[in-house]
Amino acid sequence: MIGATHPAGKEYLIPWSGLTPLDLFIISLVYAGVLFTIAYFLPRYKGGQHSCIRITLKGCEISDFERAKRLDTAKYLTYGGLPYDDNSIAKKLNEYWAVESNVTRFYMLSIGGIIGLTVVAEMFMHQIFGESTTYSWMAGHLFLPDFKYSQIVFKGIGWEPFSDIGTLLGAFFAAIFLTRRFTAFRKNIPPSWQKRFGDNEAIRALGSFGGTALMMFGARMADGCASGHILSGLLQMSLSGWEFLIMVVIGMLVTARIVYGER
Amino acid sequence: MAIIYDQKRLQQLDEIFKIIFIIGLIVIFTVAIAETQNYSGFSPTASQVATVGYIVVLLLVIAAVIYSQFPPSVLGRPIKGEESQ
Repeated sequence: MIGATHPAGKEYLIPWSGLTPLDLFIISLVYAGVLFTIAYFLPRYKGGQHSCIRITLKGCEISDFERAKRLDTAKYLTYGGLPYDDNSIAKKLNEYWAVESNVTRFYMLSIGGIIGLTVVAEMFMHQIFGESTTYSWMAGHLFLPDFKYSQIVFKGIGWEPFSDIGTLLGAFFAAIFLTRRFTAFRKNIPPSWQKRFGDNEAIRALGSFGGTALMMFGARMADGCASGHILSGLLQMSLSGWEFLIMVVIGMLVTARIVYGER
Repeated sequence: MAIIYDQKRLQQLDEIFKIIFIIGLIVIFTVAIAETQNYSGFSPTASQVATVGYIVVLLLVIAAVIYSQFPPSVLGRPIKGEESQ
């Protein structure tokens, strides 16, 4: 059944009409239970023994293998960034908090809570919790203002361009004030890339820009990106969000095999 | 741009940019509010977004100029030092 109408004129499919708010609440609890069960059994790293939730609930120690993977993640995230002291917040964030598995810490719960509340607030304001439509909007304004698809984007985008600026500013703020991961647009080639493809800057640039272009193309073909389909879509129990997630996971596995090889 | 290793100078540059960033942030919010105060459309106009976007780009350029003088690091230590360990 076609039910809700978006202010931009789009109509949305509501598969289970006639359900009461209590029915929906019970369904959402079951849905959350399924998601937590998946998260409980899914190890954080390939070859790892524990998921974040399992470590938290059982209080078990992580293995040396998982500890090494954590360090590897921290090195990748900070490569080419700014220097920081041993007593700084950046050290705690990069080397302990951001890579550790305890999901019950205050900052972890805060991040989850803020994202959840933002998605719900945007739903109430009839806005889209997404990032990638802004690129179509920008390209449309700059190069293709009369193109039919550009006209559709102009009509329905809402305040997403401003939320994209906010995302950029938030990441910028964190990279300077908190994590010190700002690389100043230097031509960094991470060690994991060097091991596989060498230190040729042109190949690295091709990989980076080509990969981004492919990702953006895919996001537009799917009419949304990871924010719109996975974060926002799964939170709304959207079937299309699950379809998107499965295809993204397949794409990620294939890309990881190509980029990192067999390890 | 040449890399600076003098800790005092690096700290000074860092503080200068952080002040610039906070001023920039206040300007961004002020401009965004002024631009959209009497606007009731469903989507913002290109010029409204561009006005705010230019300030962000300017901040990024200033940051790039200042922080390109810092030694590139991994886990907070200069990369060369990390590799030799």
